[in-house]
Formats: sequence, C-alpha cells, structure tokens
Amino acid sequence: MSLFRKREAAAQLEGEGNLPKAAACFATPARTRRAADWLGELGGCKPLGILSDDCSDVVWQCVAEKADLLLLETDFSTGTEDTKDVSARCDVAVEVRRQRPECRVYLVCAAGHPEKLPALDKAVELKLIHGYFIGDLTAWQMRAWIAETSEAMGRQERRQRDLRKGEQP
Amino acid sequence: MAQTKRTAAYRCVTEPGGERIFRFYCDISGELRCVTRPVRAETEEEALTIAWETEGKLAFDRCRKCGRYVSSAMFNINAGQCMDCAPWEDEYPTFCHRCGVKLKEPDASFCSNCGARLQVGGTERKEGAEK
Amino acid sequence: MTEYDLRTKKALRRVALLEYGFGPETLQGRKICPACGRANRAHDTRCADCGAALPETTLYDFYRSRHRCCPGCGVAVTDVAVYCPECGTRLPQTRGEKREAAV
Repeated sequence: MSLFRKREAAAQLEGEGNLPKAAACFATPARTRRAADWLGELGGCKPLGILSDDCSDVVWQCVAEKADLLLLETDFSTGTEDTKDVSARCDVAVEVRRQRPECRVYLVCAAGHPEKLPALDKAVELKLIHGYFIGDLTAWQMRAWIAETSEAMGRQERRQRDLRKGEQP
Repeated sequence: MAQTKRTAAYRCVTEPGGERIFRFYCDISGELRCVTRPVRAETEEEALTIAWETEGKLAFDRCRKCGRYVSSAMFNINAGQCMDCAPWEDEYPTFCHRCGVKLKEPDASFCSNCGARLQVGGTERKEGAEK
Repeated sequence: MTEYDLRTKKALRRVALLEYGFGPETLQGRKICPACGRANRAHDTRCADCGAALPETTLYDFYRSRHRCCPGCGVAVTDVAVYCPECGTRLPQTRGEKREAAV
C-alpha cells in the first residue's frame, strides 16, 4: 500500500472522512515534502505530496487521489529548463480542473517579483486559479483556503443530493 | 529596412570616482528600462558599449522594421516589430478586417469569406497581395 | 497537448502576455513618470521613485494616440484594416501623420 493510502486509511479511522484532500506540488521534492508535513500539522485537511513536477503526473495524481485542493508553487528563477512561471502553472491548473473540476487550485509565489502581480490577478479574474499568495504561506491563509474548499465541497454534496432526490420517483 | 541604431536612448551620469552609470529608455515611450551598474572605461563611448552589451540590451526588444529598441510593452511580439510599426492585433478577432464578415472560427489564420490573412503583422500593402 | 476551448486558450494567452509585459493589457496597467521615466501602476498618482505627479493617461492612451482607432469601440487598428476586427465597424481612411517619440 502506498504511503499516501496509509495516511488516508488512518485519517478515516480517526473520523476525518469529510476533510478536503489538499495536494501540494512545490518547486522541489524537498519543499513538497515539507509542505505536506506542514499541512498535516496544520490540520483540517488530508495532506498529499506530489513529488513529480511534470504536468501529466500532477494531473494524474490529483485525479487518482481525488484531490479537492492543489497548491502549486511558482519558481521565477531564470535559467531553469522547465518553467514554473505563472503561465506554466496556469496550464497545469487548467488541465487538473479539466479532469477534476471540483479541485480548487492556488498558487504560492516567492516575494520580490511585483511584475508578476498583473498576471496573477488576471489568472484569478479569468478563473484559471482560485487564488494566490505571495511570500511564505501563512497558516491563516491556508486555513482560509481549506475553509473555502470545504464550503465548495458542501455545496457540491448538496447539489448531488438534490439531483438524486429529483431522480427518485 | 532597419536603421543602424547602436543602443536605445540613454542618459549618462558620471560618478565622482569617474565611473559612469547609464540609464536606458524605450525609444518610443521613454520608459526607463535599465539603470546599469557603474562602468569604468577610458571614454564614454567605450563605457556605453560595455554597459549596453552587458546589461542594457537585455531589457529591450528590437524592432526588425525600424531598428528602434523598445520596452516589451511597446513591442508587438507576434509581429516582431514595435507597436508603432505594427499595432497590436487581437489574436482571436471577431470580424475580418478586410471584408467585415463575422468570423466563424476566431482562431483561423485566413478569412473564409475573402481569404485575407487575419494577422497582418505590419505587412501593410503586402497584405493585399496575399489573396 | 490538450486542445482547449477558445475561452480557455484566450485566458491562458492573456495571462502569458501580462506576465512577460506584452500586449494592450500591459499598456493599460502602466503609466510612465514624465520626470524619471519609471513605469508605475495605472492607478498611481505619484511616481513611486521620484514622487513626481503622474499623468492621468496610461501608456495605452499614448499608444492609441499614435494609431488610427476604431470610432465604434476605440481599439487601435492596423493601417490596412477596412473594418474593425473587434466590432466590425467600417473604418475611416488611414491618416498619414508622423509620430514623434516621447523620448
């Protein structure tokens, strides 16, 4: 059984079945692991680390694990082969949401790049992503995003319940 | 044909120690795009060359038509020309610019009605010869 | 590569252009300080560098003033356009005025 499935089974035993599943995909595997651990300590969600940065891997894992929330970290350093700029992360976000529409995607960006702000605001305005944070992600912000995701999950469940009621004779 | 323009518009400030700092500006909008580190050289010309080659030119795009150095905002990246030579064209137009017909496929390259190339990219009169 | 619907393609392209400082939306969000040349945000009234008063017009207004514009929707059009590609309005004849750079 994979490490992630073990965590899921344990969480369910503890009565955490309704907690949103929060996936983290940061700039490096080490940062992803730290982020997933941090999410676990924060509580209120079931953390999931996505160690591969490849778009198709991120999408596959979010769909397979039924992620409700995805944190994507940008990396604005130049000279890297695979870009992790706002546009590249929006590509990932779009593809994840195409296959798992209920997954909410948030970007985490390093401070010191004010020239990226217009693109980030536009991405939120055009609903490519649900939000972003500049700097070291705070517990307060993460809890707000988890709450938004839980609310969205609740709305989705109620919609499905209503649909099922409508289908009953 | 592109004019031979060596650098973008600039101002030079000479420090008390004799080093020179260059400020490079967009040739169209006047936007300050680069303030170089102090450069030490025998003459201003030499200092300008060093400053431009090592720092200045990285902050500009060059119009392949008029040769001016412009900021990214004043550069039409689709046409490879400045926004003076090639005003921005919507990449997904709604109407054909030549016959005025509403386009069924906004991401098409040519108008299905008159055959006009939808992105003229500053080709001016040449565009008329496309049909 | 997934073939996205037009709305998604346009949205992704707009974000990419803004991120790298190209396109009309970049111009709309920028003002140039007349004193020091620094780029400021469109809603700023004072230059963040030198404190000089900023003009009310943006870089986009400056760009539009240098081109023929559609009388219907106001977008700048190419010299060869007969109809506006945005709203379909028939355009007036090309003007042959010389443009001076701001520098």
